[in-house]
Amino acid sequence: MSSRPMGVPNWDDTYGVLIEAQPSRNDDDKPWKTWEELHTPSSRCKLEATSVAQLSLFMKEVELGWRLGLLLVHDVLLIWVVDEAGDIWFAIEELIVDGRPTGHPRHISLLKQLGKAQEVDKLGHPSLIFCKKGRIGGEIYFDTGVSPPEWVINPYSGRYGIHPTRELQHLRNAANRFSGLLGIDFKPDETYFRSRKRT
Amino acid sequence: MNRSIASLNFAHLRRSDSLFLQEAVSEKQNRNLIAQKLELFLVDLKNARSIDEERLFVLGVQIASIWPGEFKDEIVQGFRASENDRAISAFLKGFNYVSQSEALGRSSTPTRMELDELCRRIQVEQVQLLSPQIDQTLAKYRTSMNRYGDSTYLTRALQQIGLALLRNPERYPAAEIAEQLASECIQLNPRFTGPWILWARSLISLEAATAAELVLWEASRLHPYAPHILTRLSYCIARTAERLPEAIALARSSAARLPQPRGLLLVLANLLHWTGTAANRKEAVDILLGVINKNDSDYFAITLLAKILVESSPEPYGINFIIERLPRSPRCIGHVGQHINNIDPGSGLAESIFRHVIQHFPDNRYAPNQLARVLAARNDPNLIDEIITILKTAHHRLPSDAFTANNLAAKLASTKIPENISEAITILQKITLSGTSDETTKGLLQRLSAGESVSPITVGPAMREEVDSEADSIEFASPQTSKTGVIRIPSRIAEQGQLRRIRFILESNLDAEKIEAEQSLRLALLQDQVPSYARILAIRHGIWEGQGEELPSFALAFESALHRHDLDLLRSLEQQYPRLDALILIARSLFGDTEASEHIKEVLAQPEKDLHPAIAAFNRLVGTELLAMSDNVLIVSFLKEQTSRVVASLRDSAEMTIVDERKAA
Repeated sequence: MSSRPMGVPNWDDTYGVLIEAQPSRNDDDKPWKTWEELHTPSSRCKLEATSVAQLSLFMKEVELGWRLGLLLVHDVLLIWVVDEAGDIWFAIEELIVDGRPTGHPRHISLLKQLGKAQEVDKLGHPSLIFCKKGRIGGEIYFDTGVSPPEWVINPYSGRYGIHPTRELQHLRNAANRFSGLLGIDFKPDETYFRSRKRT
Repeated sequence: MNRSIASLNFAHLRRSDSLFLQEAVSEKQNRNLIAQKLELFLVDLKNARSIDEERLFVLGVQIASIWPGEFKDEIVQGFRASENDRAISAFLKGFNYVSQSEALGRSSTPTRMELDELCRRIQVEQVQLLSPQIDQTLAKYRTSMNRYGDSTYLTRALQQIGLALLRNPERYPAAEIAEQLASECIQLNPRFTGPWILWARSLISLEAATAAELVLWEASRLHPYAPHILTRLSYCIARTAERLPEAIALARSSAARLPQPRGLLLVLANLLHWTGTAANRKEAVDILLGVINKNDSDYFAITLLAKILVESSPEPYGINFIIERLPRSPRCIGHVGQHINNIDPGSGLAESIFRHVIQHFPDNRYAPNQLARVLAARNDPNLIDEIITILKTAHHRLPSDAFTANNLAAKLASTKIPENISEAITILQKITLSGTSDETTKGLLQRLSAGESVSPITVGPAMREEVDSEADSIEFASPQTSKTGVIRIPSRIAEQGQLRRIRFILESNLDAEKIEAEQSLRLALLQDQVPSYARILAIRHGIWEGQGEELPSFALAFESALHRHDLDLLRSLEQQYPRLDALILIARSLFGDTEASEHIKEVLAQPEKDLHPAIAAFNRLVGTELLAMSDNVLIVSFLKEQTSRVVASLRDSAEMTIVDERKAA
């Protein structure tokens, strides 16, 4: 029998059970990077009506083909994760250089060039929720590889999103919550979950 | 939309790319092209200074998600030769992840009872024979952790098995396995203190006391608020007799600094007692009397006091002096007497104590019985009449007390004098009729009525009524000299531990050790890549100013700001490290920035789950005292009065954030 009080949503069913940040793949010392515990992204926001009005306008304009906006979102990711209380936190994936935050977006394709000179990394998903346990998480980006281009949400957080406990419905629920608040149709990238069914 | 394999960007594979690839991979020629492009992408990363392995892991998952199952070997075979490469290894981890995680199956976590049973066996059976079972059990926990994404049960099992191994009399391989389990536990969750203690205990069992000490110093840096780490560390240092003053200094300074010093005070008293000097033993007794007066049921303090009183010759204080300073509680005073008698049966000290209790608390039912026990322990036939008189007096005063009646009856009957036996039977019958008899009364009466002989009851009811929760954390062993242990720990931990000790020595009054510590610090500063912690200590002690050099980490820059009272640097740090704002605001406030002090309560009062561990640690050290203050004026005056303690706590908290920058360089 559930100990959940009446009327409290079952976030385990909606967004997956709480899991610890899965070990960062290149750090043998602890499951999160030092800077992920020390800093939160400067663009960190909770997904709620009051916080997303501007973002919604921006994303809609990008979707409508606003060229300046398209340039701004090129090669840049939003990362998101659901916390214990069922709140969704998101931020632009921010660049870390030599262990310190820059407050700048991380441009994925530029990393290789930058990485030759400096130690570059990112403020990953754990930094959104103080390295605590989390539910499903992933990325949001504008996919210009299809016509018309579309906003995509995926479960590709190596820390919270890709995990045996995660289900397609968790991703869809997160996509619906984003869509509901931002008024944009987020296309869930279901490839990972569909392949798991095949396995 | 026109797409080609050549246009794919593996740095970030989009949904549209996945859909395209899903179609493309059905043809062998395309698969070859994709694999080649992928290989080029990964091999090119070899020259990069940093690699986002999480991103490559995700790429592996994405490629595995679209690659036809029957051809997955094409990828794995192709990369096998380079699987030691970091980038390729991360990719392959992701590529194999889905199939591996599906193979984990459903729950297979051992039950609590199974784990308890295994631990029970580990304590007594041959570890070598149980080793496969330990491995199997832990493998189940690891599978479960991977399946459910939660290491709680695994860390608990690792600790429980580790502790059971240390209880096994075989030192090898038990302690070796325990040490490995502790290391695994720390990697899983460095926020727990238990695994550090387990690690240190394992190392001590393996006669690597030096390594154990360094582990504990490092643990004390990471958990500066944890008294049990400092108590362990104090004992670890005291294993070498000549370092007893250092152990005492550590226990003393820690007890003065931490808000809950009780455990440390007990250790301090014990260490002072070990020195054997009269002055130190007096101080030990004073400390224990202080602790007991705060809690007259503190079993460990009472036991230790009894031990010191028995083992001290000459006595540090006369027994009446002690009794007068104990709480006015017959139970508490009686406990001291009882423990003295346990350590030194028939002790004159115990006799004095119980006579005192009888005189001042005539209605106390334990004291006469315990006094009888003390006298009986002397095995002197001449004392039998006195014992009987004591018990008769008590029985007369407390006629319905079954315990006293039973004792008296047993003592009378043990004389084997017929009149005494009759009297004993009468006493037992009266007690039975009064309705206050117990099982002992019944048994004695049956045996005496049947003409059987009885022995005096030697064990009375336990006067100890409360069990201390810290039972496992206090050890009262004598100091011993151990072989110098071989360092068996990662050099990073050894180095940080060594520097944490240097910090302590430089802040202590251990003058002889200070010279050596400063030399060690100066040596550390001469290294090609100077550890961050060494630079922090050098700034703190004026060996290096840190000016003109980059201060890359929070801990280093914060130390510099503290040393130079640099409000500008503090304000700039506040911008860079908003999660650590509480430490910065307090430092600013200490240097007279009144605006900062207005926000202290607000930042400290955030829910603990949202606080950075360094702020949570500061709260445990002094923050709760600040939070209890009703207004800003009180906070400012507290900071002024307790400046040195607050600064020490700020430093403790900031040092938790030290990272080994050489690793990143």
